[in-house]
Amino acid sequence: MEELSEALKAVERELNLSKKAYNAVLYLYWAAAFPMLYLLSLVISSIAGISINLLRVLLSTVAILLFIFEEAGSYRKVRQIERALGREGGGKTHILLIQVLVWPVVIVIVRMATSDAWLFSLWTIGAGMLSLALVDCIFEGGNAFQKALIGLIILAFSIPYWRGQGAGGAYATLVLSSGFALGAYITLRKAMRE
Amino acid sequence: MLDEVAKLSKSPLGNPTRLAIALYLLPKERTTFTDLRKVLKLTPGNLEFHLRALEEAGIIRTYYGFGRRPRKFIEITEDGVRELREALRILREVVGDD
Repeated sequence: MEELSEALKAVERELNLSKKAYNAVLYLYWAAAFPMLYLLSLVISSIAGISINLLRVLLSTVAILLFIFEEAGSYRKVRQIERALGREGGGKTHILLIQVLVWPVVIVIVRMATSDAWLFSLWTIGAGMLSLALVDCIFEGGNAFQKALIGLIILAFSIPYWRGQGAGGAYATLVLSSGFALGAYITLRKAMRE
Repeated sequence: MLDEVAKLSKSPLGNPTRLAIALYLLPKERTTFTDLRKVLKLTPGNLEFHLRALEEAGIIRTYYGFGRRPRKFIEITEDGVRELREALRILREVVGDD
């Protein structure tokens, strides 16, 4: 009986780790996507002579669509694991809806504050992540540390760009990528320690 | 509790190998026949037998995908997740962890 109990606990630990890995993979997606978008737009633009801004818009749209596909898969898997563990929260649709609605609100506010494309990306993503952390805090009772940290890092490191201290698109890309990479690292490290 | 244990033993996940297959599949989007065979150390015939039983019970779904050569992929279904939840609940109750 003791062995069975231990086996069940081990199963639960493994499933919890998988759940957190699915969450971390979404951060890793963006940590990889931002430099890839930057480099691809530079390379394609120099080869094909297409406007770099147009390429950035097109590639960003593709990245967002792929992310939605990726997130839907992760969300489904996390829900399945929670259901199998008997920890179905239920009624999370309204939280998901609020999380989606946060973005247009943040986009409109940031658009009013700046017209610079890179600063717009930094502030939108930074403020968006902070808003998502706030939504998680209010509706799910905490555990929004990673999102808040990503948001704060991005906003803090947007200051040199904002003040025009020689920081360009490569710097903005590095900030975005580092913020998400750190978020993924902390999520996985925490999951492995638990 | 004995009723529940009897129910579990009669369910498709009452067999330890089938329970292991479902548990292995749960956190994965999908897996291959070869991967599952290696992890569970089963012969192809034995694994095929268990997979057929699980598929007939609606616990898993198998399909062929294309890579360098056609490969058999296996994934857990929503019904499978429900059955697994029930099996885990009964097992937790048996060991008194619930």
